Amino acid sequence: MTADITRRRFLGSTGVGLIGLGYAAGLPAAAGDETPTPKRGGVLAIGHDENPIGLDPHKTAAFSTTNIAEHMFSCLLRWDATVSRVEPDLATAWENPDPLTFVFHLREGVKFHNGDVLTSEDVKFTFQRLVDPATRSPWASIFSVISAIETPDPKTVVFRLAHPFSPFLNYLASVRYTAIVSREDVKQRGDLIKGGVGTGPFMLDDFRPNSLIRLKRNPHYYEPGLPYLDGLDFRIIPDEGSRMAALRAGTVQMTWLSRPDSAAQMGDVPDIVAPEPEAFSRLLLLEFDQRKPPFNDVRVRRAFSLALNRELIVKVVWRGKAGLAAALPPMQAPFAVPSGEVSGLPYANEDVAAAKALMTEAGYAAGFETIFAVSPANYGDVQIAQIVQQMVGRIGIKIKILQKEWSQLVTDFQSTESPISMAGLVWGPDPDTNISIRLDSKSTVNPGKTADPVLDDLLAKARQSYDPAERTSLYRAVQQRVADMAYVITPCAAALRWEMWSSKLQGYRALPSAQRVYLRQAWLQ
Amino acid sequence: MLRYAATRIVFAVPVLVGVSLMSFAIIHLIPGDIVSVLAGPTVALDSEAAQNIRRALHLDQPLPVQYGIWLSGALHGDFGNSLVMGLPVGPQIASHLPVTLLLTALSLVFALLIGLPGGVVAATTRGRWPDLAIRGVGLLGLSTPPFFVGVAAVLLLSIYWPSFKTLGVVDLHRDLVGSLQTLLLPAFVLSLAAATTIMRYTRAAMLEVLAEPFMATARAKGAGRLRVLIRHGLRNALLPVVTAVGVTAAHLVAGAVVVEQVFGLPGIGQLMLNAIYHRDYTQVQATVLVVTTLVVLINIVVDLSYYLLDPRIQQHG
Repeated sequence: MTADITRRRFLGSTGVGLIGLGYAAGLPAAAGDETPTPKRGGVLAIGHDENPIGLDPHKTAAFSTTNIAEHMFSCLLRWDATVSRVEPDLATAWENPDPLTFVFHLREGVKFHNGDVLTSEDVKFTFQRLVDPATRSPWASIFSVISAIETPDPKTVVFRLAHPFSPFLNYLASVRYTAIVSREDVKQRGDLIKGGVGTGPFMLDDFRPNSLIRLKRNPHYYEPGLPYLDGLDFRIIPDEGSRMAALRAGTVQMTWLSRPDSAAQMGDVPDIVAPEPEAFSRLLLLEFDQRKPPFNDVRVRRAFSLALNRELIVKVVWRGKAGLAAALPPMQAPFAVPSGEVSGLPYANEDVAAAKALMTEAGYAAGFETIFAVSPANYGDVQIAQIVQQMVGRIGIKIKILQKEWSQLVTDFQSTESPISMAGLVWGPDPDTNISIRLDSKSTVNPGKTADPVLDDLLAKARQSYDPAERTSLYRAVQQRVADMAYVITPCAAALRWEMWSSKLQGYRALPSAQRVYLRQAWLQ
Repeated sequence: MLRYAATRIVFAVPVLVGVSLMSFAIIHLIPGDIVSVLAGPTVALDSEAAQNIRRALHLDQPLPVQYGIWLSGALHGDFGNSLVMGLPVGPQIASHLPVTLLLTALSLVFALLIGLPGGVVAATTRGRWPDLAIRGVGLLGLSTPPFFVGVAAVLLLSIYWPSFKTLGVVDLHRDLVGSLQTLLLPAFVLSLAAATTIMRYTRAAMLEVLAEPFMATARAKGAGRLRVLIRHGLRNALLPVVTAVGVTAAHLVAGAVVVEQVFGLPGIGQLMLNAIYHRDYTQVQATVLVVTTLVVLINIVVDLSYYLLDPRIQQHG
């Protein structure tokens, strides 16, 4: 099978490498075999925390939209249960004859929700729409790497890239980035804000802003017999306490919480399944303004890093429900330095005496005052700022915490207004998604204004290498370099959300990336 | 009376324009950018993609020009499109407003049902235990914020009375009865502070009226105790209470924002909060204007109701 060989090669490039090949065979079975016989029917009510910013998957990066769109749309590829390996979805096979060419073969007989058959023209249109400035896609710059798309026949799509780009396949597996839309449908509607047709397991039935989004079963879904559920009802309940109550009362059968203490409370409730997330996908990240003193001095940044007791932060702020992390979220395996190995990185272990010595060496024996901007929007950020304030106070860095509203912090973060600022960084499909944008000197975001040719070179190589083992070692080197130069401080990584559901829901599998795609094979008992 | 009403309505126009100007200024003064909401933290705010978003939304224009564009639209009844969703704001408001109106009206009914009898009983039993009990509970009702009572009520009911519909879907068009059932608890929670205010005003006014000589006369004529209390007492005590009801109703509209959030109700408060959070300027403008109009209208109605209760006011204008 030629397809299989190339597939394996590219599966490897997405992250699993040698280990992945080992357990590739066992995984797909895990989701379906051990559970009792699936049952058709029933509507699952989900407590959704935020009104979606429209349902157009190409127009926003908001999770509130993605978490609904992921059931309506599908992509050329999709993630497996480990979220580290892509598998076929709308494309059944693909080849990569040279580093600049990707050929995809589309699945036969896939229909959009309106009955139209999926063709290569729809795929071509999707990517044209993504890069069209009029679409206002936040990801337009990522896909500008595509120099041409050819459609030799209705079931074949050929992408020509301007330069080798190894994250490509990973983006093709994420609805948040590359949901395949119907050309005819978009032409008719203009945009998909009120919804549109996709090829996903569920289709839109009703969209009542701030109240309810109702999806119903797609009878033409290409996986035979799936989905088992007749529909999904997303109830908008912004208040976390109310969502907990709604789940207890059975008003909804599924929701998620963003606070570890709320999650802990739900752990003891009978008939509620509240598993601990399998991997930490949200990286807490502290940025310095490296253009100005004092943080332009690597010794000060290293001292800052040495002053922190990361284990204590995990224990106090997250009640132990977090892990140590380097510059990539630990769930980005195998690229990320695993939590257990973080203490082996330079300046990652508490050493106040060494930190004080570095401060003296840098000419700050008397310490200095500085400002730390943080937003209370996400759990943990302010708490971490407070504990960091105490810890670095010991080496004379007197921090004033400045709380900002989230969208203000984002602006501030990018314009590097405060000497120190912190934000969470959420799992992206590829390690390159998050790390380059923050640390590459050519990135327009680069909040700390890091300018390191060594790092730039490593990042560029990792972005262009199709060899998984080489990519892994390159990203490990990147993390080593970032820790050594203390460009950013990563106090810990935690779960993005704590998902929980009624024990009536069977066959479901929560992913640490907070995608609920496995609802396609779940059923209500 | 018509002339008076007309004057009041004409005077409301500059108030509304003033409020729209203020809300415009405030939302633009808050730092942060709608582009950061639309594009997420990983897209550079000065990138071409971000600039395109800004241009498309007229956000590159000077503020007075932006306000002018909005105002001329609003005067034509066009509130523009939501910047975030791209959908017209008008229909959004039209679908969310009835929920808030119903919620506020229901909780006003609750507040009156609790507050008026409470106040009368407290006044007639002044200093004795029913008075103390009512005032004690009232103080609790006034000082406990609705978001706390709301969450506590939802949680307790879900544990001890799971069949009670606490967080159902509200859709007034398709399921009016079910929606009303779902709205009962939020309306009750919202009414607590208002009920206390009304109770206190009623009590104070009743105490004053009870001391009036005509009350003694009424009793001397042989009127029944209840008749004396309601017909002669409450009727005369109502004027200050009506003022309090007006102020309270305005507070209810504001309180609805919080209660809608807790109970996940698709009302104007949710629309407004989301708009502020996303820096959706046109939607903030429109929702603030609608809420202000509501409050102004309530005040006009209160003023006019004085006429009905006390014809003497009519002569003085």
